[in-house]
Amino acid sequence: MKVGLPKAMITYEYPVLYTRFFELLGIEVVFSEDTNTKILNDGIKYSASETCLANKIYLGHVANLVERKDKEKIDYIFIPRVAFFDKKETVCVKFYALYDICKNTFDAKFITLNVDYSCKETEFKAFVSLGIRLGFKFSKSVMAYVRAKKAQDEYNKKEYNTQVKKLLNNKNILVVAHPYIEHDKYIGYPVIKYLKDNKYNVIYSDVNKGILKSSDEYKKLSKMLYWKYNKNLLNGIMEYSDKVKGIIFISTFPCGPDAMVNDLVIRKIKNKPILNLVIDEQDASAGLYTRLESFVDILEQNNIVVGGNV
Amino acid sequence: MRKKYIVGFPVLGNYYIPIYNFLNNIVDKELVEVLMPNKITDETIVNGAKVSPDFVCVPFKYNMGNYIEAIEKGANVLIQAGGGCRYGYYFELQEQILKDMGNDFIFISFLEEEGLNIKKLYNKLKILNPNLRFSEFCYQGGLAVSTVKIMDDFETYMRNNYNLQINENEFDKIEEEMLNDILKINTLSKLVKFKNKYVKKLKQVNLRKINNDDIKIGIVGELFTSMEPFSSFFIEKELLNYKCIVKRYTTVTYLILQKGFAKKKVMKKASGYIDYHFGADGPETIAHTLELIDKNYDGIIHIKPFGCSPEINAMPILQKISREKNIPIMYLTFDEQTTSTGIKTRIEAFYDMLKMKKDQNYANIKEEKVYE
Ligand code: SF4
Ligand code: SF4
Repeated sequence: MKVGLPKAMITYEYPVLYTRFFELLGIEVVFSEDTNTKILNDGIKYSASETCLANKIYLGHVANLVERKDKEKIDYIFIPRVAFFDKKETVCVKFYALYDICKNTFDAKFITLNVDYSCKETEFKAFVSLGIRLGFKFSKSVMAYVRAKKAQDEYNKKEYNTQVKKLLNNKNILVVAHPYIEHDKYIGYPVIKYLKDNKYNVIYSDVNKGILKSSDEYKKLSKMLYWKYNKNLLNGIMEYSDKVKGIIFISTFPCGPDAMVNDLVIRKIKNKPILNLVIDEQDASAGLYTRLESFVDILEQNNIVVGGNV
Repeated sequence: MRKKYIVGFPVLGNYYIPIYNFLNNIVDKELVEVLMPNKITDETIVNGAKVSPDFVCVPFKYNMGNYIEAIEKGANVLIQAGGGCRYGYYFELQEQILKDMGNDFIFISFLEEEGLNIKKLYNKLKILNPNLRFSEFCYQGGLAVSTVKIMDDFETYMRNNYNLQINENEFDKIEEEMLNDILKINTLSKLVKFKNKYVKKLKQVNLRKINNDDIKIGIVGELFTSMEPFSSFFIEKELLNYKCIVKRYTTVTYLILQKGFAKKKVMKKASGYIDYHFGADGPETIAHTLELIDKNYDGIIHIKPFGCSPEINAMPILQKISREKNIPIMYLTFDEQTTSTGIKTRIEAFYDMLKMKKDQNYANIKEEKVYE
């Protein structure tokens, strides 16, 4: 059996969990290609025009898999439905609808799992019932989930340790963005590459202590916050902001949750140069690079001041 | 003399009137003055948008406009009573923005992180009346909810029959009077009198009969905040001079009272298209659309404020329904740049299209008969 995973949105939140689960059941996993112009254009074509760019790109990735499914014998395209983790902890509602939207937009076979603690659908239950639906025994499905979960935890630990080691640098810059934004070839990659080319050490806010052990640090910036992935980003800001020279926020147009949360946080962070980038589907890279350049200039000037004091 | 506390809160459809009345009934009048919010104007929206994040859904911006106006009028207690899917978060950011602007005030949110909590709300509102008894608070709260329920029923009735009025503007007059009368309700018996009075009034309005060739248009979506600053019968009015029937769903009682209980029914109705709930009223939009199709409606108008994710989620599914069931759907998004002329033109064009389609269908049916 072969399952296709769109390389966008939710897949980036759990880079190991899903793949490992399938592999442990002996199912082959293929990914969509990196975001390219075709994927972007297909995404725009298949999406409601007013949805966020990240959501459009997701549909582009699904389209990529749909196109390849016959030739590469992909049996199912996997689109998890993730909603609630606890009564107070949810995710952006765009994630709620991914499966239903794809089902109604494309002609292909989709499989899903439903994580929704508000209806008592725990992650454990979701994975196990997925395994059973795919024809595996209960015990085998449980094993696959437990092991996949462990692999994801180990991966998190490794990521975190690597990041902490990198912190010793004095050219740290903090990027605050969802993983599906910062690692996407079209949205975040040009920014990250520019920073790296300019010898900056990029620190990702989504990789922080909170991914090892749940943390309430975010409450110091926003006490009412209930979006899980935004909480995680704020935990990162709390952990790293005093170790970096500047902070770059990247979000997509028009993202409701980020628009609100980032606005609140930017109001609260004092004494750090901040750049707030909102990427849309026509982003002329010229405009982007001008903004990055002038931001880097500010960082360098800051450096002189700080250096002078020392 | 200036009161110690001056309370301001935002407009929310017509529901701000029962909210105002509720507050007025529970506060200590020696201590507190409750401000009636201004109707939302273009200026309110522009002022609100100026201080709001660009891509937040628009009700946020409307709220901000109202808060700024309230503060100008001296408000030092602000209330957030809304309950959309992001309102829980609205509150924190709105407070921060207004404080950053240099204002000093107490901010009270009706909702907690976990939703409505009567006991906590009581404690919060006690600041406006230290002698407020819990029983009185509950009585007034229940009264307010019942008022909203009755008001909703009346509004729904008027909307659904708006285009059948024989004498123009009768419903407008009744609505205006009704909203004024709501401000006098402070006991259950007054509410009952209010209800009887308007049932009678509404029954007296002369309506024409529904004809077979009337165009039937249904309105679905996020309706009660999207259409500020246009009047509440805005779309019905635009269609007034045409031969059509307009039906629309979604009211606040629906939101606060029936939701949990109605959720199952909604999901069942929509189950041919969706398996999961996708936020706020998104699935309701799907279920209502299917219901309207069952009832042979000719066309559907989907309305949402800019940036409303649950309704954006619904759109690809509506598009599929539209294709499969061959029913035209028009999508309207309201934002701070929306003008009534822009919307008018689109509604007119939509009506013309529906009319043509219907006439053609008739022609087709006749032709078929000839061939029989
Ligand atoms: S959080 Fe923002 S970018 Fe992510 S899916 Fe939601 S709207 Fe899109
Ligand atoms: S329902 Fe729509 S308009 Fe209301 S808070 Fe949610 S996203 Fe905003």
